[in-house]
Amino acid sequence: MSKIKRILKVLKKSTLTAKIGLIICFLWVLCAISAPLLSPYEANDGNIMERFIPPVWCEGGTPEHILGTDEMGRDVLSRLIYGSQISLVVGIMAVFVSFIIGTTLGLISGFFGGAVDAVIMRIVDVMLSFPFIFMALCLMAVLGSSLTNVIMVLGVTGWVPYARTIRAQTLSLREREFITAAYTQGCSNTRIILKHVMPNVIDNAIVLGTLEMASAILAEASLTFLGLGVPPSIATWGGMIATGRQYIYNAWYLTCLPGVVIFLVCLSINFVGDWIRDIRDPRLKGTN
Amino acid sequence: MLRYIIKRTLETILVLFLVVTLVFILLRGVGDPSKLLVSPEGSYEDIQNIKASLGLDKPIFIQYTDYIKGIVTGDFGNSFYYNQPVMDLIKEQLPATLILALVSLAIAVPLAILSGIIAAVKRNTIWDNIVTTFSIAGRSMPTFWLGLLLVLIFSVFNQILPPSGYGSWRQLIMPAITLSAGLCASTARMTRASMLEILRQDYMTTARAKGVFEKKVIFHHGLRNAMLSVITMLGLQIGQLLCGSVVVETIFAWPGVGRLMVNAILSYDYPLVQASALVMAVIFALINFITDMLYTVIDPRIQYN
Repeated sequence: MSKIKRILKVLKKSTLTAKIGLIICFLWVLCAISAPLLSPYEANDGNIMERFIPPVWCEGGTPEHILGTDEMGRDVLSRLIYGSQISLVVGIMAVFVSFIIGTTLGLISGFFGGAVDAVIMRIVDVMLSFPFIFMALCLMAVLGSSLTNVIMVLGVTGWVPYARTIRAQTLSLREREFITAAYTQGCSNTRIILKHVMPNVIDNAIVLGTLEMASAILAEASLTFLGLGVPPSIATWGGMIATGRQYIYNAWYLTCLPGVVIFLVCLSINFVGDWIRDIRDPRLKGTN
Repeated sequence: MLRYIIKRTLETILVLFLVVTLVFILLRGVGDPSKLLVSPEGSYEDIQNIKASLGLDKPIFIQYTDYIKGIVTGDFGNSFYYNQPVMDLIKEQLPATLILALVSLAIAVPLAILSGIIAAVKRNTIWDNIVTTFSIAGRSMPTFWLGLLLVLIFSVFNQILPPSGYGSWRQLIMPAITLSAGLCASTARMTRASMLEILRQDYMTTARAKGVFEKKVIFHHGLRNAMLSVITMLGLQIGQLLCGSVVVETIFAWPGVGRLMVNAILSYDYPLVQASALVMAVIFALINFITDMLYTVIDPRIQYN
């Protein structure tokens, strides 16, 4: 009980932007989890007779399709709700994969130094020396478009920031007395890394992870938009914009609405991420 | 200094070599382009002939050494799809990409640095809030969506600007704004952060106590110190700019290297993909090198010996 009270207290003291962010994130997760219950229609059910119905507030809109229908007569609102599932899965899983890779490599590189460090840092240089989207496109072309592949590709290409942050912190931690103390007690390297170094550096990686989630969602949308991400048979926000683009002259809402949703979700994640960073380290407040 | 430059050049060559190798390995997994180049009625022999003429029937390792030998002698091979030397194709398209990138930089950097300074100096005022809000919004907006939104506003609803194409300055406006938005957002954020850090320093108080004009305190004592971290980040952000240009060029049918590259990936054009990756990596390495050199100009204490 006291834990819930403490959480409520922190929430009460949060900034306005954090509150907005938390509410939108909550709605997003809710939509994703209960999509079949919330959405009025199935994502891929279309009626060819009801193509291009505009949203309800425009001329010709009907209350049956609040946000209108697309080129195949599918309900836009339902597709947006189902699309939230993909963005949530991609956001969480891609960040998870790059978090694991980046943290592991960062710890190893910072702790052992020497040749291992040099090799890992050269890999980082290579990763940084050509555009991420290009590498992702190549990989997607190799693997073929599917949801799992998008997650793997974003995970494998996104680990560099974690590795750099964790490495820098590990480098300075390694010189501290408690690490030397652990050595003299006869702790193995693995034990020192896992029990003494990792708990001290993991926090920053988690904050980074929250912020990176927004980038992962944007990256997935870009890949899908270019035609090399999640296959068109699945309703995704990026895919909706890609097809909507072809009808930009007669149905503006098909490009506009999914973009608004992506924008709001990423904005909220950034709000929440900034807020978490601020409560963890008040010195950084307002500096970033 | 000279020693540093030589060391950096060698390091860069190593990284470029790794890039080439990585792309080579990646592409060999893509699939077989020879099937795409033969008409659907083509026989097995036709495919074999195509393979032989492209050198794809040799063992991978031989293909790799041939390729590296080619690069060293300046021969990057012919495009499978266009049947022209790939470097000619890239040379043709590079100016468009460079124009777009430079114009975007010219829009984004001054605007971002200026608004970053204003936000930091007038902290917690309405100006600060506007800049902060815009920079978070810029970070959260998908590039391609911003581009399409501009098309909607300026070409569909109001016929002010042409929706795509290349040639006149009017066609440059929307791609440049789209590409500069993200860069502008992150640079403004970074400038604000490092300015806030600098404004707290003792030497700023000292400067003011000496009676230096506030403008001079901020631009001469403050900005110059703040620029160090801003420039570091700008160097990395230009990579983001190249990423963005891939998407922006696709949306606005801008005939640049980014679009060339996406099409090359989609049509399994190995030599073209490899060469454009290398060109991108070279541009990137050059930018990083320039960034490091700029440090010595901005902060004379930094010397590479």
